[in-house]
Amino acid sequence: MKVLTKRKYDELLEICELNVDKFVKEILCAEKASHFILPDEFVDYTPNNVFKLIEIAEFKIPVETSQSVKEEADRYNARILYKILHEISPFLANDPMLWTSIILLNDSFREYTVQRWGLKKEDTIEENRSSQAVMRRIFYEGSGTNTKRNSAARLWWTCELAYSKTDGFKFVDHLFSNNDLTIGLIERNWATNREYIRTILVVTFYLKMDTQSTRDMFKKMSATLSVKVVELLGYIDFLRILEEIGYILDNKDEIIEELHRFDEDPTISRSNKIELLNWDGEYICTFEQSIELIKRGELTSRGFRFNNIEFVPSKIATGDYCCLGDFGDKLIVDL
Amino acid sequence: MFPYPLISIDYNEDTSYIDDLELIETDEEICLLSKSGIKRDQLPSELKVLYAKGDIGLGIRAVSPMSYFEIFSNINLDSEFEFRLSKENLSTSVHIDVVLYTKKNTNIQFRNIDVNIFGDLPDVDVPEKSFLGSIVDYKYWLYQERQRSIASVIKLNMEANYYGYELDSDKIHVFIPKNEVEKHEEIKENGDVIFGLYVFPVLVQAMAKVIDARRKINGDNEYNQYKWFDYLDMKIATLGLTESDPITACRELLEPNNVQNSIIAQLYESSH
Repeated sequence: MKVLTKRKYDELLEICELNVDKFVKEILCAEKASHFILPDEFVDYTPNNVFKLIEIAEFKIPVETSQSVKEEADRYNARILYKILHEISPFLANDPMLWTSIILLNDSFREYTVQRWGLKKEDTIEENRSSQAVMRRIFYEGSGTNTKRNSAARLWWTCELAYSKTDGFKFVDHLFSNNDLTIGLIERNWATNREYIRTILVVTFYLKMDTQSTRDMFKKMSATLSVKVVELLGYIDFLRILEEIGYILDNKDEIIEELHRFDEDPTISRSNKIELLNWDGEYICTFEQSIELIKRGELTSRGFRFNNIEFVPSKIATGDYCCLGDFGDKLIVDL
Repeated sequence: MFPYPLISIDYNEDTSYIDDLELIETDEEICLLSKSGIKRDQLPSELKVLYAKGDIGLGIRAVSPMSYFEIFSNINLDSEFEFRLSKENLSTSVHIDVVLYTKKNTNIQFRNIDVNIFGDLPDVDVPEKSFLGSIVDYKYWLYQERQRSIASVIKLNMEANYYGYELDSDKIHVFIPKNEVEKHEEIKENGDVIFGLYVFPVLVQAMAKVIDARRKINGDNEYNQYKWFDYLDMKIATLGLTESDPITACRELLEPNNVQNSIIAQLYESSH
């Protein structure tokens, strides 16, 4: 994938700081990244083939301004981004160059960002277009968790904190559907404890908490946790604290079962064959399977090729790939 | 909540719990080690008793909020310890401390505490896993971050109509009056003079904000969300800059002179 040089990053940041209208018009709303960036202003960062998928990935652009359409785009794009970059280290996931490059250099992601946060002059309120507001969405500046408002980093970190192999994106979707929950979880110190995050996700999911109850819960939890060594606390401790501060957990057993399911790691088959099932004419290749094939195959303009079979983005399964054709009920690919 | 602040304030003031703490950073990891460990003799008497009974414990924790990473490891008094952290899990810095905590519901009798200013304190029942105090506490910045030039957090605007500065963003913005500079050849051609006249005073103002925040107990202020603040805070901590006055601190930060010259060159390069 392509990553901006430090000099270019600083130059763009300065334009945004000093003249946000110019930045939005000439950079964010440019049709192609090549209109504002020259070939010597980025470098290749490609530890393996999988990273190159970022360049050809097509992200969803919310065409309406309704919150539900925006959230749907968040969910779709989070899947694509996390599936491609799920292996990066937390150190790399705090690299400003990575996130700003994805936003600015992938044309569809840039357009998603503009539409998602209403950054075009004609369709937004002034507050959203202040230089600080635009900077927060595009760049990865600051020294705390406020950096997670970056349009791309926000999606990846939400998945990193809420995705599990057993539940998939169930709780990621739950987070994207409640902005107060996302901010309350991601922008507070306790979020370094992953069991805390999981407890809050599961409890708010089962109790179907609304915005006001979510805010109240964070307030009460903070008061209690501020005198604890939170690093020592686990699921059961957090549930007990919730009960102590007045939450009635009728379905506690179900919640505990759900919490422990997070820890299970379903055994990944190490077979040297991959079975692709026919689903409405698409032989679906899950992202995990795709990664195995991409490592052994080659990238194409829309996807990848393995053993002379073309794989393209699936229209049925978000973020997965598929091959088209008629191979019966299933296609078996030898690795 | 009553007892905790008293304990943490009192115990944090003592710096003699450990005397051979060593921190080694390699390309892959950070290793914190001590041969002698945390000294039992230095603990207040009531805590020594509780420790011996197994009511309270001691552990090292490392937290990197930017990476949502934390790790906790129990240690024993007067015992060697070694604590390793993979740098892959960290961002640019990590907060490390040694904490005292209650292992179970514990009754703490404050009558042994050497703090007379609070008068007679009652016994207090403290729930398990409660924070009692932090006895070694510091923030560690990774090597690459420590080596970063101050030019990375200062931005010069050479086209301004007036002299001024702004501190409410990630970089310190210095506005240099173009007309003034161009009027005087000796200023225009001399980076040292521009730095001394316009940049240094702003740096002193910024340094003063950081020093002021470090004097406060919780250290929070309106600027601590910005990168320049974090940078100066890191420099004070890692270089041991004088905290009694910001001018001296800035002078020490810019010594030796060749450092200042390279900063000027970098600032100029990024301003044109």
